Amino acid sequence: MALVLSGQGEKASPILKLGRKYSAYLAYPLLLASIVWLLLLPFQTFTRNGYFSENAMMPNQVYTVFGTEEHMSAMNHIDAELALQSTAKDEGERQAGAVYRAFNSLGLDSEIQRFAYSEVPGVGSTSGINVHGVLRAGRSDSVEALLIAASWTTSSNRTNINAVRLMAGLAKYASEQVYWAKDIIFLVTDGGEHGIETWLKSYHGGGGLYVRSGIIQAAVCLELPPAQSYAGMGLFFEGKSGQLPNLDLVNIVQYISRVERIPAYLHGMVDASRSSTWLEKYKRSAQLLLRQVSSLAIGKSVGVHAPFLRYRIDALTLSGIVRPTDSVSLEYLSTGVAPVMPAPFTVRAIGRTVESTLRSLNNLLEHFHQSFFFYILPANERYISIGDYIPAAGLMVASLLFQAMHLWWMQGSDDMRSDNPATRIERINAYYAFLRRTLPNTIGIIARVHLLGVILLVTPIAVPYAVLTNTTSTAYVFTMALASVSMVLHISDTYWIESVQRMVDWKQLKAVVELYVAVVVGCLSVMNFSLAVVLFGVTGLPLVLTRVWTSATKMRRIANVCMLLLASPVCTLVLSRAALGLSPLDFTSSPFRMFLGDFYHFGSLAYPLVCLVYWPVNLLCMIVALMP
Amino acid sequence: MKLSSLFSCTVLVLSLLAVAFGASSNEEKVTQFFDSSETQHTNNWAVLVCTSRFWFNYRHMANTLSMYRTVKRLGIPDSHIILMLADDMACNPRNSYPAAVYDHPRKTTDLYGDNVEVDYRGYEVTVENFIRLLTGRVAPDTPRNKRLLTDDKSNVFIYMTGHGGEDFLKFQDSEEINSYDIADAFKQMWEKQRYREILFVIDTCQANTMYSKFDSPNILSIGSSKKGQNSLSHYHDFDLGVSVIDRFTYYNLEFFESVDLSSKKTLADLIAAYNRSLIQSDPGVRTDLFARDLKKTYLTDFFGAVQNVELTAEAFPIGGNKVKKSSVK
Repeated sequence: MALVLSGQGEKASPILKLGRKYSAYLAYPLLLASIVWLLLLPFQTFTRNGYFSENAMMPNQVYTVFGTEEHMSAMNHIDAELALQSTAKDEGERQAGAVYRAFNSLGLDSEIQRFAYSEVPGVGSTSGINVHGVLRAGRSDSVEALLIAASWTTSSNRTNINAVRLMAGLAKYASEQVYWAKDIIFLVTDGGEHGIETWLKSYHGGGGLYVRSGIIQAAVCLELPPAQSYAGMGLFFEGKSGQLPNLDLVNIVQYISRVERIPAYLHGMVDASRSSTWLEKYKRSAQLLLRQVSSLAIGKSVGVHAPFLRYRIDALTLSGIVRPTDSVSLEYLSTGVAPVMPAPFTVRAIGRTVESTLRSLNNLLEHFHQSFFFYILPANERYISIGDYIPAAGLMVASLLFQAMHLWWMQGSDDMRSDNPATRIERINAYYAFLRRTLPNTIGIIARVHLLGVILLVTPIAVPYAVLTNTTSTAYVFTMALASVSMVLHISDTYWIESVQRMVDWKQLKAVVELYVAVVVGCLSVMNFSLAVVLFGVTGLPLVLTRVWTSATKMRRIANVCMLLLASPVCTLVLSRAALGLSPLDFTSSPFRMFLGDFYHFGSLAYPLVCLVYWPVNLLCMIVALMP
Repeated sequence: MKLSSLFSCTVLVLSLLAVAFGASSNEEKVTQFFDSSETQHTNNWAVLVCTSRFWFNYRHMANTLSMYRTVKRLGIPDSHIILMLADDMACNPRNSYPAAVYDHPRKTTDLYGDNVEVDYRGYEVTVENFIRLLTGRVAPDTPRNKRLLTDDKSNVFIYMTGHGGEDFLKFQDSEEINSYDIADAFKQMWEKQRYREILFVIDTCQANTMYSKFDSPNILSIGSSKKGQNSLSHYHDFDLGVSVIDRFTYYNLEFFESVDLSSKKTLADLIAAYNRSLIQSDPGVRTDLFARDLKKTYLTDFFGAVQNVELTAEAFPIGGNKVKKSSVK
């Protein structure tokens, strides 16, 4: 209130005076600073070396023993069981039956869970089968558990039978040992993330699971596509809505895998070599960071670890990196025949990595709590903590706030801003009259645009399920886009009529929208920094740059609207479809549908943010640009 | 138990007398022996405390049990040893050698094998219990094995190990004892004539700060590392996946391997044996409270049960007991 009244000639504090004087210019340097801050993050000097916080874990302090004859034969046993089950009615039943019998023969408490799920609310129904076996820690009390999981297909849509075989070998190894303080659960699903989610829901009280254990402390998911050997492993850790596993887990797996000579690289990316130039190093880090940001913002990552994070189970995926020239891989791709296990030394290295990780996790005394839960990783075994990256978000928000402050001060006619003490009362009256006249209209415009967003949000959830196919969802988005454009044109057109021009002020509208975006981005940045940055990039940044001129010409308006169209949801959805590796014209998989599915199954934030913030703010920007 | 220890004491005394007479048969020496008996101790006690808990602190339990084995080997009976352990290692599910505790990767000696008498176990190892034990302020129903039944002729060896810092030592990761607490407990012990001499040994980070506040007489203190220094672990066992002993304790024990009941090695010899490059920290010794010359103080005065006999000129008034008894009736 002081800010507002002092604008009308009240005694202003020196800080306010200063703020008012410079707020017009402050937004741009702050915006620039936030971008520079983000660009500086990939520099090695601004990152820190990874370390272990949790003393109890003691990674790499044991001899590993995995890889004996018995372990190898337990792995082959899976193939024998698969051959035995050839009479099963479908592939899922056959695989599940084989794994169930193999787990049982290793002495695990096993269970088969059959379930059905729909990818997007109600669109069709896919059935899936989970099998899990629990290795009981004989000398402990079954109150805590560790989990190893695999899906029958990898993210690249290849068979993941190698991971299932390895799990059988690991189960054999684990059953020989006496030192487990926690149960070990081996989980195989054929439903990908949905299978894991269903299983977790049942495990945590949803019903339908009878073979149970205690609280799951950590999970490692495996993806081992057919290959002769692997060039290393990719480590994927991003969950939905910016959820991340504790950094300690990522660190120990990186450290252990390096010692076991099958290094797990973040996103499968090898660091730039020590001798490379700073530019190469920078580019490498930036690339890795961008991959994380896109994974975290969209909520799509390699592997099936994401659902675990929602249940406060620290989890990550290890995925074998296949060389393009690998003979076994090429053979599989051409014939589709499930091939043999990778070379023994590769199997042993991966097995020992998991073994050593299990022993380290076995030492945990309480839930992971020591290290960071918010981080981005610029290179293998390095990290950027929340304290180092959050200022960028602060600068973005500050830029919005300063511009909003300036616009609020500049709204209305110039005589409301004179310094003449004699006209003070008049000015205050004029100011309130102005607000009474314009504010309801401003709020009205924002509400109308948001109503469109609500319709956009609700319709796909409310319509009959069968209607919502891939093609219709794409058509739906474009229809909504058309509706939006006509709405923008209608609203901005309305206020060009001479008699109602005084009823609105674009400065006020822009200021209120800026405050709104600042609040959303600010709150989001502490939860999901990547999503906040992306959201700022598509809403805040165009908003700050909208109508920056002093006098609006036709050309300027057109240029402005073109920029806003480039930043519009439809445009970015098409672009992100291309980024996801799909042809822009391929309508079988739309990001919109993916967001919707993630929102429905995992409560991920991308979908409501697109509908309720991104879409309306983009339209509001256009309205600001086109208003008188 | 009591009978056997009495018996062993008698044998010891007799053997000592035999040595005294046989060596020189010098009457002067005999009189000297009995004269000095007033200033010498007649019984030995040991208080061994492991203040850590949890699997990754395996080495602290191994430290304490190794020290326990040593003082026991040198003759202090279980009845005179108060052993305080969190005791969650031997039966820890993570232990790949169930029911055993080792202090060396060779695993030649199972420290948790036969005949280990733990007096304060698990959650009984608290700061309060430790101070009550030292000062004797225990509840009347406290069993005998949980009492430090010392007197003004007792030499007490106190060994502590765990995680500590400047002027404090953590107890089971939930509370701390500080150097003033221990100094105060020792002061109360002196006032109550609960000791004749104390040898205080502590192996923890910044251990030397822990004895800096002592102000009672006849205390010799040894710490493993100076202020600002860590006390490091020694052997790591890759079967168990933990470190099994700390450096300072290890090199103390190595020295004690050359000591037996008849040894004439002195505390000065022990301190001279400390090798900074092996221990990798600076062990500290505080002698200003200790009246005797370290070169003339035998290790067995604290670690063994080499006892002296105090002769009384007059008959001990056993009759008094009778009167008491009848009066009770």
